[in-house]
Amino acid sequence: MQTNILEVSAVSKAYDRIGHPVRALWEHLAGRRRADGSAPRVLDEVSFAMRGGETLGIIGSNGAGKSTLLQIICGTIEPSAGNVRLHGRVAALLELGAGFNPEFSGIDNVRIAASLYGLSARQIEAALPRIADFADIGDAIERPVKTYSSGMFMRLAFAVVAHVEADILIIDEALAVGDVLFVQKCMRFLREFRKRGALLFVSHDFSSVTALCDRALWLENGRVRLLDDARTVVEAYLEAAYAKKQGGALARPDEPAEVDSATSAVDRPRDDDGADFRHELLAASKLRNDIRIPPFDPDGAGFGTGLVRIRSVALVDGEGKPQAWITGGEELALQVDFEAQADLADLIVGFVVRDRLGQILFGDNTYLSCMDRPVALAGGDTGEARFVFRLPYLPSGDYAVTVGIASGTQEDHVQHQWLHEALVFRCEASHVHTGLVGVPMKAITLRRQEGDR
Amino acid sequence: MTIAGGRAALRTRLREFCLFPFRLRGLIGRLAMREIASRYKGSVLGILWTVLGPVLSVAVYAVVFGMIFESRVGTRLEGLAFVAWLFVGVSTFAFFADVIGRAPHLVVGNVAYVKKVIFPLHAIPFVTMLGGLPQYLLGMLIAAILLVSTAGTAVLTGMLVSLIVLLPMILLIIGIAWALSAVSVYIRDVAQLTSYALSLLIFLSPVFYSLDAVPVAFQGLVGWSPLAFPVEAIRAGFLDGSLPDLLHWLRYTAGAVVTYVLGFVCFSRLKRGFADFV
Repeated sequence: MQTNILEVSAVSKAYDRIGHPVRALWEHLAGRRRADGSAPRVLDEVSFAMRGGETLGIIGSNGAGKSTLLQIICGTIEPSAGNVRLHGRVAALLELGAGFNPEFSGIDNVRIAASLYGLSARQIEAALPRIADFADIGDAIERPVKTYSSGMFMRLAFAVVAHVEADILIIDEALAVGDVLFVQKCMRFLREFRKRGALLFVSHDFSSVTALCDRALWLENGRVRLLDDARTVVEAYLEAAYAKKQGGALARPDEPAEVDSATSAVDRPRDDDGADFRHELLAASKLRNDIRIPPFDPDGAGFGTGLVRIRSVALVDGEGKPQAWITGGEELALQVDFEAQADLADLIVGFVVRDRLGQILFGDNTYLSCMDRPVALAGGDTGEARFVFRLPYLPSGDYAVTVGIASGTQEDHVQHQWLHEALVFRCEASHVHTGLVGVPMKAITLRRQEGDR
Repeated sequence: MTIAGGRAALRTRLREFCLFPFRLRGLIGRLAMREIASRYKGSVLGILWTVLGPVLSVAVYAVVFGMIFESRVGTRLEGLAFVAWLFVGVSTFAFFADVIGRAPHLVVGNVAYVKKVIFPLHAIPFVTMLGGLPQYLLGMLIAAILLVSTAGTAVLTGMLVSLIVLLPMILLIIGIAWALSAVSVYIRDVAQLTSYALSLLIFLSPVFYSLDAVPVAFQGLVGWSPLAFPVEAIRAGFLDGSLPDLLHWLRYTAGAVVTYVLGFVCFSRLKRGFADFV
């Protein structure tokens, strides 16, 4: 039975009203500093324990107390109550290169940082080549770190914590700035590391939390909301976050809007089944293309004449129910509800889906479908456009749906309202590694041809 | 963090208190090297300034006090001996003032060490002290060489022995630096106060005069200067080859150890609030 190498017992932290510095000085000096019970608690009775070889992810919204908790574990701030017991060397990557002196060269900073972690001069010299090799920033390691890019900073900082023989490794958001190759190198290292040490990992990148962590701890307003298997926690967190933000914004489609012939043009989905033949299999696996959708933001950035107001944009299922989660390869509908502010003729509603870099992946509009029976609305009328399609599989990442409503023709039209990011969504896990989207595959075969030799 | 038997815990803490500068010697040494390097960073002559600095200041004092002011306060020394006499006082003060003058900025100026990394903050004054020590010792070496070359090797033993006053002086400096660096986190005025206190101290210490030259009524006051004993003792050793008074040394050392301990306690207690105020 392994003993716990990290025990956090009922740790609370309240940032007391600091008070007048002279008073604080006196209270600290006299040892009479008392926690003021009325101060809001940033952390409230947080307890958990970790053994070697365990990986724990910490998630929570901004201000939930994640960083405070990590700082307390590292010992940079003291808890107001409770205690932390550590058995082993802690290495932390809390803020990028925070301990680095910008004037010194990379290699000197590595030496200093390593001696901070308690390595002897001999151990440091032995580790230097490996650190330089891991950071892989070439000759830049001899230059002052003030000349470094944030990526180089991160490479060096990570390389150091990776080579100080830590028993507990604390990583906070750090992987966000690295390029893909380095992040993958770090991931490989972390996977290797967690075989022997305990890894504490804070990230907003839920796919790496689920990929890397056995368990996850969800902090909410300083309390442990849930501590369980990583995937369970991430899912619960996302559902709650969605439900909370969702509020009324998408609860609208119940209003039977004055639907014009537009819907009839975009017909019921024809069941010609363009599904990927592996859809069932993928849906049951870890690679399930889970896509999380935050709510529509009607006040988002955009432009237009303002003659149409978009009331809601939502991805809905066959029954018209807005979805918090959708899955790549699924058949669904993009529904746009809008209200005309004046009499309008020849309406066109369109959308495009962009990836994180703003590249358009796909999109469509109602023009061709409605060309022979244009839709007109009087001021105050509401309308609804619906695009029913099979969602492609998407690589992990963030996506945005841009929606526009115009009058006119494909070539010549006036934009009434254009919302750059009518919907944003995030794709958490994916089997798609190449290309912008994964096209549903009808069949994939691999075989040796008979009579070939 | 652990609850253990009171005595054993106390012993551990006491051992840690005495040994931590040695335990952290790797880190302190490395940081001190960097500090020395960064002091001369960007200058053309670089590390040569550690030698050049003392030589030039000797020249300056020789001109100003030897030729212009013809200040012979309390000493009948002439020429090189006078310059060396003056130099011992000035460079000892400079070493002291360098560390103490920086002390109020040591914690305040290292926010990252307080908030971002696990850093033994107690070590910082040692780094600053070691950053200034080589230059001071080099200056003393130059003074010693000059004196030996003119007065012969008779004073050599006195010179070397007199340097044992540096040990308590360093403890004293560290103790004061701990207190100043910690208090200035709460009260920033400490930085201003310190610089004025130092400029007062240079005149209240036997730097430009000898203790004997002070009117009897003020000898007590000047004698209280933390620099009075070391400066006088080193001067006696360097110029006459005389050994420091053991009793006086013990008394000074006792005061220095008390300052060191009090400074440590002060720093340790105030450390808890650093994150709130830096």
